[in-house]
Amino acid sequence: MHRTLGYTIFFLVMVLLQAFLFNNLNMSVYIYPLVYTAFVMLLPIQLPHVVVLLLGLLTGIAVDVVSGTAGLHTIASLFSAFCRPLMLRLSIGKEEANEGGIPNAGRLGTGAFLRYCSVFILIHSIAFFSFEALSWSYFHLTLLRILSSAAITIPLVYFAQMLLMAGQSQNVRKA
Amino acid sequence: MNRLFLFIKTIYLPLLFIILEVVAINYYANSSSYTRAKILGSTNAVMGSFYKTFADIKGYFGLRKENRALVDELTALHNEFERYKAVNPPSGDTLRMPDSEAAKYFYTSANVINNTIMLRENFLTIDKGLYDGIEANMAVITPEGSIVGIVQACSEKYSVCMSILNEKFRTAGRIKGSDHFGSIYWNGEREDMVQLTEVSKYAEIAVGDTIVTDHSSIFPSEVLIGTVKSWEMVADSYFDIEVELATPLTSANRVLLVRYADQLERMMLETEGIK
Repeated sequence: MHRTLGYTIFFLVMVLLQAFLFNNLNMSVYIYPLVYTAFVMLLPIQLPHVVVLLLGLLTGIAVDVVSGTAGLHTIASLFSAFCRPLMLRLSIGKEEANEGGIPNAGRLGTGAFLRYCSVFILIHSIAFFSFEALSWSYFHLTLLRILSSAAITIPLVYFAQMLLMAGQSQNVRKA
Repeated sequence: MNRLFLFIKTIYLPLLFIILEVVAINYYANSSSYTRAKILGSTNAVMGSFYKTFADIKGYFGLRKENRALVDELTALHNEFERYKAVNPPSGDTLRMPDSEAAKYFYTSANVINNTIMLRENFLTIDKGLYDGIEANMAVITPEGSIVGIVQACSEKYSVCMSILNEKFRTAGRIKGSDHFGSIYWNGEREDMVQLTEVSKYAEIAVGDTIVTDHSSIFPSEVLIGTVKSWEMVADSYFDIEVELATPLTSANRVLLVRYADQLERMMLETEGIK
């Protein structure tokens, strides 16, 4: 139960951070950190796939509503949520994936976590920016935006997962 | 029967994914920039005050620069006023004040509370709406008089404007001091550059030439867009010009909204002309 509370707070923090901070960074046309992906990425491994998919839908809709992008974030979040079990199995191996737990740096080890995190963010960014461009004529620009945005998002998600870990361990201590 | 259930059990997840994804893509594909402005507008009814607090905090960091700009503008207005005084001697009954009914443009100011530049379709949210007399198709410019965008949708207290950094944005641009004009658009490559396309091949262009708005039913005449950075001849028939924006949109904290008094009349006449 304590986990649900932790995740609810994490969800809100991620959506609000995206809305008020990362949607307004305005550093460059090529840098749009999609930090809210951390929520779906860090859901417990043993959570049924269908729940992950529905939470991905919820995250996407929430971010779409606050950023005024009609469906873009939903398309990308559904896609990455659907691919999540595959990405987990590929980056940490099937056996370890079966053991469950929260897929953070503490549980997976920093190397494996960064691998999982990078693949996840890349998949998410590819879906997001290709659907945003909706055209092959800007292919090189889209590619550049995917790579530069993902490169900024990865360290930010790493911080976000430390935040969740700190929150969860505090909850455990209380319980 | 059992087999059918087993079959459904194995494929229900991909199926659910595909259905949800198709619905989302369908919604996205059918949305126009107006729907997006509408979504932002209704969200702002709830989120607006948060955005405002956030923008207020950010605003403090630019106060000194903003004050400087205000003083500069005040000086410029003083100078202009002096010129009016010179042609209208204060003594006698012949003093002619401009009739407010006859004014072509009405100005209001607003604060930018949300602004993006990293999407292909970018919008700004400002803290004035229907209650303040803002309506769609008003021009948005900086206090220094350079272009920002066009109001797209309003809620009671907030409005969403299409920024010039939006690939759906179009307006006419002209090389100042000449009659050669073209169409302004944004190709999405850089946040400080827009493009002026289809400029007559007979135009004489130089780096640093000023580009202003032209014959718009939205913008007042000669609103500053930017300066010529480079150009190329396309198919021996017209020029494509790279224009460096006069004011970077990332620094637009305060904007002026301009309503063109004859806009409705003019737009109706122009659409009738097309029919």
